[in-house]
Amino acid sequence: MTPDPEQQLQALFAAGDPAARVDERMTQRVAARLAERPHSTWHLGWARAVTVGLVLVSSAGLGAAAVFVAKKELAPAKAPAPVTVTTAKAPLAPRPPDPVALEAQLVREALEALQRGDLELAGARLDQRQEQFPDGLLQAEADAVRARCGR
Amino acid sequence: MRVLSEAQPLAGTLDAVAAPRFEAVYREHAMTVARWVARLGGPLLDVEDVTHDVFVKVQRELPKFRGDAQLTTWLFTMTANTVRTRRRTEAFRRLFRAPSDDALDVADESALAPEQLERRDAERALYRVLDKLAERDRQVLVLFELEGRSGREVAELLQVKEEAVWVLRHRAKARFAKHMQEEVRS
Repeated sequence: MTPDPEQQLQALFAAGDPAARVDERMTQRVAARLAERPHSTWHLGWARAVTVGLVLVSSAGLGAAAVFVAKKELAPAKAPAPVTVTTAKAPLAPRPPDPVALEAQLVREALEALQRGDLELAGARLDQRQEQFPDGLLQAEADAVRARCGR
Repeated sequence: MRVLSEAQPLAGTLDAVAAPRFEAVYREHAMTVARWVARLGGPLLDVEDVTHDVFVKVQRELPKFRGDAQLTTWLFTMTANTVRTRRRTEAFRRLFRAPSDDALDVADESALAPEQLERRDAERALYRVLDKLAERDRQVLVLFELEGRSGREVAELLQVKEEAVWVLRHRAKARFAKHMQEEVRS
């Protein structure tokens, strides 16, 4: 006899209910944490994610700027500058380098080199990061990449 | 509501953190919020950590609560938003996870009792399917199927009409069943 799909569904939900992990002791621990630290500590991880995102976006922006500059140098003198590119370049004015962004850039390059199978370059980038940012925010990520390099 | 200032001493109780109102909210709703976090977040989120974050926000926002909605509705919205943000970020952070971290998870699991392992497997199986659903479908199924709430309660929490909530449930279940079949086939 084919089991009733509704019953199957109920059984699946009953067996996999993660609220079974929640108990009074957990809420007591949360209360103690609220008393101790009435603010979120999650922003540290979030800051990392934002940093990596910013690095990716800024890399793309720098790439676009490089393409624009190259095109401008190669283009005939009389050619009018494309308006859209000019507007896109406005926010790309040089900013003082952010140490976290630089650190993230090195980790990202190491990860990309690892994905290409270039273990030498990946290791070199990680060593560079370690040397320049011994107490950097991305230590865990760098360690993870290093572990994958087998170094 | 009295908010803790730096000048106030930090005692080890909630009285040191905020006014009786927050304390009352916490005492009455902490378990409910923690269950929502567990059920909306699934096995990948740290329930304790996210529950803490929800109540940090509750503590901050409670003075602005005007009673336009039920307190439970307000808490549910805050919990759902916090969980959604954490799930997205967790997915992003997992891109940086090395295979060695997964190996550590496996090592941790070896310390679990057989029934705990079974439960964890069941949780993961359920959330492999739930994770494929849209946020609203997931919320509807969690409130109806896991929490066992009535249509009226679900409508209040999701701030929709009661008739609409039955349609949402029907569609969510259909989509769940479809993804479930795909999961079984794969």
